[in-house]
Amino acid sequence: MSERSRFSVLVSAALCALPLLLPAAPAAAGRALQKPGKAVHAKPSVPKHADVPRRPADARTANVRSRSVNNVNVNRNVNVDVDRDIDVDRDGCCYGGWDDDYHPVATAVAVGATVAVTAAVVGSIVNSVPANCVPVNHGGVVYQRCGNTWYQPQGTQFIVVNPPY
Amino acid sequence: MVRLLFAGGMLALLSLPCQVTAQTPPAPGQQAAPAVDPQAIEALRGMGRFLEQQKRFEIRTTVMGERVLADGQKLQHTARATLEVERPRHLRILTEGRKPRELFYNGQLLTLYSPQLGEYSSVPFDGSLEALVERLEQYYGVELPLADLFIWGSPDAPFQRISSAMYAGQADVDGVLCDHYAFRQGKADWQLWIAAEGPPLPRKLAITYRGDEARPQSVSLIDWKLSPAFSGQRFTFVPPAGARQVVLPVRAADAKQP
Repeated sequence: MSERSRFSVLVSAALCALPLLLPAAPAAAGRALQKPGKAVHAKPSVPKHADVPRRPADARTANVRSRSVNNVNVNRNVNVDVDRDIDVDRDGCCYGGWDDDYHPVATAVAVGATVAVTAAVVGSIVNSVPANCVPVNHGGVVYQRCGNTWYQPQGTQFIVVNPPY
Repeated sequence: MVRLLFAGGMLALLSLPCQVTAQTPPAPGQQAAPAVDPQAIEALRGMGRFLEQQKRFEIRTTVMGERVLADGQKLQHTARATLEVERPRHLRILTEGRKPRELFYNGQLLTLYSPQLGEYSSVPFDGSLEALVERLEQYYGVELPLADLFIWGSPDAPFQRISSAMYAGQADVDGVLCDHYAFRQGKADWQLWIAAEGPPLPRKLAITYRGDEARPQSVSLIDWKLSPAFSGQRFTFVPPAGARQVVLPVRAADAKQP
């Protein structure tokens, strides 16, 4: 984005915001300032910080043997690489905690889709990806999304990663 | 020899009349406190009961967690979540880790939405919030932020799994004086800070996972709003324009799609 277009975006954003701010009483404006958390009630903005260039993380960071345990009674600590006893109370489950990359929607199959794809093991490396993959550009990395499985390019190969969304 | 003497001492103590035993102050190191301090469990129960009585509340939480890489090196991460709760069957959650995610539950329909992907998935569900926690975990492998809060107040809270419980004194959490408790449960060592004054609200939860020798720890700070100003409509998901519906993958090992 050029300086000029960025400036015009700023100006138009300010102009748009102006009529909204004007009718508000000063007290209300102050209250809004004191509660930045109010933004939660608005729809979350789609790609936040989308313009910030990102470097892909080191592939070693995908090689996770224990995830964060954030709840005592609901735990699904996972170990993708070594078969070890992982559960706290119940049988260990398969996915990450709420703070992790995992989102079931990201591994979901579109309504009407007929192809069932078995998810590959995160961390495994392949020379090529299946034919039905769709490239998804995110954070400067072009992932290959193939049904439930996401591949991140690594040199001439691909590594299976958790859904980046 | 020492052991014999000790055993003899114990026998002597046991053979004394009860009244005398009660009046004798315990010698240091001789009478170990029970592993599970009943008062610590009662504090947990009391907090759970109080939370169960709250019909509408809002929670904001920040978690600092650790994940362990293959060679034992730990990486730390931070995530935030807002939970809006209206008992018995309304819940809305926004989690902001690396990517935002939303959950809507209006008592009839449960929706998971990824604003980033523009995709959502809805399934019919009409159970309690505790049942929702279970269903999400067992069917979809989805964990709710602070899911424990919905468990501790329920009648079947698994307190019997706690093998050690103790009171660890008072401490300040974000300016709130709290009672500090420490528990041991399965492979989790966990600590809870409950407000010592006013409503018994949990303000901080720390969990150390002993199943990994690197002992990853998560620390959740919890902010409360007991009289929130949200409306009942915000628990129904309205798909934004262009959003795509997808089918949630159900964990194969557990159950059939409801």
